[in-house]
Amino acid sequence: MTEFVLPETEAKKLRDLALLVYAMQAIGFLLWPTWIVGAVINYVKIGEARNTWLETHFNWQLRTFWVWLAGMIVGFILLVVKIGWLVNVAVTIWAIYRVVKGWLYLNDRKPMYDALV
Amino acid sequence: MATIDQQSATEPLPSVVTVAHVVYALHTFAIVVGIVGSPTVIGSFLGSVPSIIAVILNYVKRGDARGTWVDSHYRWQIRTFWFALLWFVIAVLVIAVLGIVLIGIPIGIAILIAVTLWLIYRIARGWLRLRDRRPMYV
Repeated sequence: MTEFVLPETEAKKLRDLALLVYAMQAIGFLLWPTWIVGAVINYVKIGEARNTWLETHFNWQLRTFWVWLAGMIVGFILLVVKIGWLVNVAVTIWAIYRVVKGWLYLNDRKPMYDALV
Repeated sequence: MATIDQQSATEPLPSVVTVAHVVYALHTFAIVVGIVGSPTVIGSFLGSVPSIIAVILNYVKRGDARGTWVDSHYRWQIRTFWFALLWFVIAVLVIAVLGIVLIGIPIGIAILIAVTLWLIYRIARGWLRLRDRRPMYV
C-alpha cells in the first residue's frame, strides 16, 4: 500500500479531529460517554483518512475504544465474584497508556503502525 | 559546565523537555492532592492517576530522550515512581501484617511520612535541575 498525502488544509482538519478524539478518550476516564463521541468521530471520518498516516491513529483509537468497552463490561460482570475491579483497573491503565502514546505520536506526526508507511 | 558536555552532546527535541516538565508537574499535583485530600476516596484516586500518567509518559517518550541529557531525568523520574510505589506497598503490608500487634501502625505511618518527604525531595531537586537544563546523577 502506498501512502497518500493529503492537501495541508484537509490534513490539518483530520489532525485536529484525531486530537479531539484523544481528548474525548482522556475525558472519558472521568465521564465515560465521551468515549462514544470519540468512536463516532472515528467511524464517520476514517474514510477521509484512508491510506494516510492519520488512518493508523483512527484505527489505534478505535481499537482502544472497543477493547476498553469490552474490558469494562467483563469487569462489571466479574464484580459478582469480587474480582471485577481488577479487570477495570487493568483495562483503565492500559487505555491511559494507549491515549498517552497516541497523543504523543500525533504531536510528532508519527503513524501508530509501521505497516502502512 | 564542563561536566555535562559529554551527555549533552546531542540536543534533545523540544517535546522531550516539555514531557519531562509535564511529568514533574503531574507528580507535584499528585503529591499536593495526596497531602490535602488523602482522607477521601476521590482524593487518593486523583492522587494516583496523575502519577500513573506521568510514568507512562516517561516510558513512551524515553526512546526520543536517549543520548541526550534529558534521559537522566527520565531515569530519575521512573525510579522515583517505582521506589515510591515499592515503599508504599511495604508500608501497607507492614500496617496490615504487624498491625495486629499494634507496633506495625506507627512503623507503617513512619514509612509513609518518610516516603512522602523523599518524594518531595526527588521532585523538587529534579524539576529545579531540569529548569537549569542540567542532567541528574552528576
